[in-house]
This record gives sequence, structure tokens and C-alpha cells, in this order.
Amino acid sequence: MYRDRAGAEYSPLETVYSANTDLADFLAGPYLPLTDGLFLAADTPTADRIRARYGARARVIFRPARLVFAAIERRFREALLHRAKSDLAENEPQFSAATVVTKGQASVLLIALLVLFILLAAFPHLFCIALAWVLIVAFDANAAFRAFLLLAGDRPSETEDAVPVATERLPAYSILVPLYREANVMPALARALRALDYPRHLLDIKLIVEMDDGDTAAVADVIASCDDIFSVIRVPPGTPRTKPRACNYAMPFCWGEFTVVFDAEDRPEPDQLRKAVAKFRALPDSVACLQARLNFYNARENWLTRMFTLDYALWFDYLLPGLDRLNIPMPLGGTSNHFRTKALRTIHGWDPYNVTEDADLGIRLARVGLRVRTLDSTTFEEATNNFGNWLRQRSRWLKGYMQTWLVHMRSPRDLLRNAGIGGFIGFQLFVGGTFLSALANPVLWGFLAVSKLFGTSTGFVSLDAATHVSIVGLAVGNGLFAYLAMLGPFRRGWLDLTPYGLTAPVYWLLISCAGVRALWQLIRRPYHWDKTTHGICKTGGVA
Amino acid sequence: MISAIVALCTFLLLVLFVARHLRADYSAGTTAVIVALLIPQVMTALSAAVVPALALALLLAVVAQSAKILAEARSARGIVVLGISLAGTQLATPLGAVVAAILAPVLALHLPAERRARNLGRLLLLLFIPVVTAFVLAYLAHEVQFDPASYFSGPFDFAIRPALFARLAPRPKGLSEALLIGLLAIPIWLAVLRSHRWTASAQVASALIAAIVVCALLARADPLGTYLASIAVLNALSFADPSGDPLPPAHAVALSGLSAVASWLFIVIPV
Repeated sequence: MYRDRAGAEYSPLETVYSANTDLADFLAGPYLPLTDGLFLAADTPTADRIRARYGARARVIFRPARLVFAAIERRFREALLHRAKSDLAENEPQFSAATVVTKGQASVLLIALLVLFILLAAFPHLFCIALAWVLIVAFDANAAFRAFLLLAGDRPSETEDAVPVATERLPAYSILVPLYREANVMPALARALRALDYPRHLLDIKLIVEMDDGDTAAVADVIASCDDIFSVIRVPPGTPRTKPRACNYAMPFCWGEFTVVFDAEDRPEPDQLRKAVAKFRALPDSVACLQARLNFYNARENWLTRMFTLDYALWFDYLLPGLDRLNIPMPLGGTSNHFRTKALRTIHGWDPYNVTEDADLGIRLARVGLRVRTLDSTTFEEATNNFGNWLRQRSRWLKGYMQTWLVHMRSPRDLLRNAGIGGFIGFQLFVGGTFLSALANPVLWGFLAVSKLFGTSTGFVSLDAATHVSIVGLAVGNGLFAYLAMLGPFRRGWLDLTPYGLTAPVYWLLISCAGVRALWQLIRRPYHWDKTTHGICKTGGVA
Repeated sequence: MISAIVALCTFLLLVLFVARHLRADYSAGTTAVIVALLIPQVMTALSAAVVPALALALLLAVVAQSAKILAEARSARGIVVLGISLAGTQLATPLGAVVAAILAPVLALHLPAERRARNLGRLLLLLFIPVVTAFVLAYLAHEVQFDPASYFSGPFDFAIRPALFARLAPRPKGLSEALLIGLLAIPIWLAVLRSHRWTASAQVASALIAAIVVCALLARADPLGTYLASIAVLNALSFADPSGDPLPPAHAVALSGLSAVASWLFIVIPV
């Protein structure tokens, strides 16, 4: 039961909402109309706005914002669910991955395959040479572009030393933590979030759980009941069951000026939010997002975690800063993306059909004229330490990159107009090149293997020239990838990991396995979210 | 005039060596023996080429210092540039491949675990591009008889390059000779091993690289002579490094003698 200031009691909220409502307006308050000119609101300014809009006789019951949001969530569950799933698809269908391949793209693909088949049948020798050249160019161009980005990114950002914002001038900060089957890592997550150096009354932490994930929800409830900086949002079952859908569902309830997404196993550096605010304040409003660096706290657990660390160190310490410096659209990395909340809402949040919704969001931001910059603060995560888990995760990433590429290449002309020539080329090399390299690599090794096993001349085709091209191309490409991997930990001084970079060609073969799996999944189960299991590492210390 | 400059340079070098060895608490006798063994090797180069010798001295200082700064500043860009420049020298001279042979033993430094791992990482970063370039060049030379060095020849290189390439081409015999050159630098490896410091490794690497750069860019004189002389000079400087623990005098004399004999053998052994 609720009481107004005069002491009158009212029924439980879910039974007395008015029928005609404006969800966006309520969420902006937040407030919620009850019966008979009675409203639920979080603060006095909102109450003033209510009276201005509904008349001076409106009566207001004050409750904490999280309770008002909870009431709105219960009342508008269906509408919120629809919005989480379809907001982007309905408002910006050209950016939605709900359609995997458009009719135009399918036609081009079919024609290309037909032409290739004819060429193979008519000119097998030339076809093999041409194929080897095309794949080598794709493979090596991606490697060369990464090297270029490394050189561009190896400079301190001009705003890394942004003036810290005084505590009393800090804004509210929302933190979204989508959780699914993560009960075992949540205590550590709560500790890491409590350790953030930020005023508690300005923290708005949403633990987003799936309604049918009872274990995780139970732990989340316990955490929220012990500490009021946390609140739990339950996402009703539905498809696609993806992280972006969960984030979209929760986003309307964020009341922070800025919003960040963390994963369940994340351990952000305590000053990360303050650094983000300082950098946002130092940059124009057109900078809608800051991507923090990611790395691992179990880097040295085994060979796979070491290679994963080299991969991440290169990506977040060099390549993304390189994209930042060159003003090339930046695919965001799954966590520690800090947004201006308003900008996030303006572009309709994440694409729930894209399994790398973060990467897609980074490109979309660039296409509407907003920028993503990097933030010099690290969030430590758990590197997956077994091959099966790693393969599922990497397959999902590569599948998501394929989705993202297909979405933004529906109209190359529009992409070129939005991103500029540099951004267009960068997108092809960085997003397209990432999965194309993974797919090209085994074909090139295949030329070598076939020529070694059966000789370069068979009755059907001579692989002599293709083999030479493959050898040189693989040497250059793998050499570059290995060297880049070795350089990855240089900035952090983790040079004991550098020698492992020599095994990058083996790691790239594993990535190729993931690439093939990703392509297969794109065809068979495009929206399937391969869950990465967390909490299985044997070491937990921060590196 | 040239003879006077040669004499002056030689004299200055001798003064430098004597001062350094005395500062390392070697006796006058030990210092005299070491310098006496050093002189023939140094003269091989200085008598043949004054300009390369002076350029070598300059490059030694500049490259060694820049390598040290790069390492301290954690500049990946600097490491890449250095690696590319090393690889570039191989396009001009096959001697670049020798760098790998000389520095390979350094990778096996017996240091405390963490430091060893870090030094290994740094050295791998420094050597990676030159070594891969050497392999690619060797592959190209073997498979398609492609010698990029021939496209970068200077006007005076035609008389030197064929003999040099014949001696150090990436063939089994050439590689074994390259390894032999590497063996000449044993005192350097010992100094690095004893110093336990990355800066020593960087300086040694840089010095050897600089020698090759000089050979490549100013190859009017006998590049092998310049190269051997630079190793001899570094040997002498290495075991008298006052910042580390100088080698025992007897060891220093023995190594100087070995270095001189090996240098001489290398020059007189026919291809």
C-alpha cells in the first residue's frame, strides 16, 4: 500500500495505473500516474513538472527513483519488451541485423559464386593463382593495416590528462551489467563495483537478469538487498535471447548522465568512472562514447590465455587508439563502453539481432556523425582458459563481425558518404578484414599442404605459382601477425609474454577454425548467442 | 693527410682503451697486452677506411642511446622503426643476416627467471623483423635467384659486393661463416651475461647493427675489415665495462688473443 502526504492509502501500483500513458515521458521523470490525479514521483522538480502538465491539483507520492522505475517496469513490461527487441528494426531498419542478407546482397553473392565456378571450370590454373592472390591480399592487407594502426596508436591521446572533475560536480552514472548464468562470479562482481571510486548516491547499477535464470536472480536479489546502489531488472523470456536485448530492456531505466556496460567477470580500475567523466567533459558533445582498455587478470594461466592476452593487449592498447587517432569508425569491444546516455537513446540502443552489438554500435555512432574515443583505463576480465569455451566465444565474435559488415555494406555508397573514404577503407580492412583473414588463412595453408602431399602439378591444375604466392603471402602475413602479437604487451611492460607471440600462426589457425564455425552459424543460426562460461579460471589475481 | 687522420684516430682509440682498462683496475701490463692484440684488428679497418670508422663511432653512440631510450619509454613505434631499419640494411648487404647469428646466444642468457623472460622479450622484438627478413631474402635467393641488394648498389659497390655475397650468401657454407663471425663476439655475450642489464644488450646489438649500416652505406672499403674491427673494439670495451664486473685480467687477455686469432683466420681462410 502507498500513502500520500495527507496519509491516505492507495492500492498496489500494478492494479491502479491509468490506461492512457506516455512511457517515454514517465521514464524521463521518472514518474507514474496513479488513479484520481495521483502520481508517483522521485523528486520535487519532477513533481513540479507533473503539476505544470496535469494541473495544480495533482497529488504526488514520493518514492526513490528505483522504486518508481520498478513500478514503471511492471506496468509497461510488454511495451518495454517490444521496444528492446524492435526499436532499431522499426526506426532504422537499414541498420538492423534482423535481416541477415538483403535480396540485393544475395543476388551479388550468387552471381559471384557462379562466375567463380565458371572460371574454375574453364581456367583452373589461372583461377588458383588468382584465388591465391586475392586471399593473400586480403590476409596481408589486414595484417598491414593493423601494423599501421599500431604505429598510429602508439602515442598518448591529447586528452589523457584531462582535468579531474571535483566530486561535488560529478554526474549520476548508470552501470548496466547483463547477467546470464553468472551466479558463481557475482560476489566478485559486486566487490569490484563497490570498489569504484565514485559517490555512492550517484551510482545507478542495474543487475540485468533473465527472468527464468533463477540462480542468478537470487544472488542478484541478495546483493541488491544488501546495498542500495544495486537494483535488479528481470528481463522476460523472449527471442532473440541476447545481451543487447537485455541491455535495451534496461536502458530506459538508467538515470545517469552517462552509462557504462560491464560484464559479469569484469574488474574495472577503481578510478575508471572519474576518468571517463573528466574526458567526456574535456571533449565536445559529438563524442558519444569512450572505450576503456580491456585486459585479463588470468593472463598467465596457460598458452591460450597468454595468446588471448596478446590479442587483447594489441587490440585495446594499440589498434583501437590507432582507429581513434585516425578517426576511423571504431567497433566497440564488448564491455567498458561509456556512453552519454542521451546519445545512446537517440540511436535506439543496441541491435538485439547482432551478436557483436558493441561493434555494430560503434560503427552506427560514426555513421550518424558521433565519435567514439578511447579511455586510458583498464578493465580486467577473465580470459577463457579452455579451447571449447574460447571457440564458442571467438565464433560469436567473428559471426558478429560478419553480421556487422553485411549490415553496413547494404549500401556501400551511404557508408562511404557517412564515414568518408578513410573510414570506408578502414571499415573494410578492420571489420571485413578480420573475418576474411580468418577464412583465407586455411585456404592458403591448403595450397601448401596439397602441393606438398600431391605435388604442384596434378592432372587438373598446376599449383606451382599459387604455392609460391601462398608461401610468400603466409610468411609476410603470419610474420606480421606474430610481430604485432609480440608488440601487444609492450606498453604494459609484460615482456615475458612477448615470446609467445611467435606462436601466433598457430593461434591464427585456431581463429580460422572459429571463422569457419562462425560462417556456418551465420547461415544456420544467425542470432544464436553462444554463451561464454565465466568463473572457471584458476588464478584470480590482477596481472 | 689521410694517413695523419688515421694515425690520430688510432691514437685516440688507444687512449680510450687504455683509460678504460685502467679504470677497470687492470694492471698496466694486462692493458698493454690487450691493446697490442687489439691494434692489428682495429688497424685493418682504420687503414682501409677512415670515414667508415668515424661514422661507425658516431652511429655506435647514437643508435645505442636511442635503443636505450626506446626501451625505457616503452615505445613500440621506436622498436618497430629500429627493426625495420635493421631489415633495411639487409636489402643493402647480406651481412645483415649475421646480426641474428651474433645475437642468438644472447637469447640464452642465464638470468633470474623474470628478468630473463623480459630480456628475451625485448631482444625478440628487436630481432624479429631482421631475422624474418633474412629468411625471406634467403628464400627468394634460393627459389628465384632474387638479390635485392643488387638494386641498391652504390657506384663503388660493384667491386665489393660479388665477393662479399659469395662469402656470406645464404648457403650452407656462407651461414657457417656467419656463425663463425658470431663466435668472434663471445666476449660481448659474456659481458652481456654478466651485466644482467637490458641496456648492455641494446648497446651491443646497436653497435653491431651500426657496423653493418656503415658497411652498407659506406662500402668503399673492405666491409669485412670494418666489421671485424668493430667486433674487436666492442670485445675490448665489453670486458672492461666499468659499470659491470670487469673480466678477470687473465680471461680478458685470453679472449683478446682468441679474438685476434679468429679474426685473422677468418680473413685468410679462402672461400
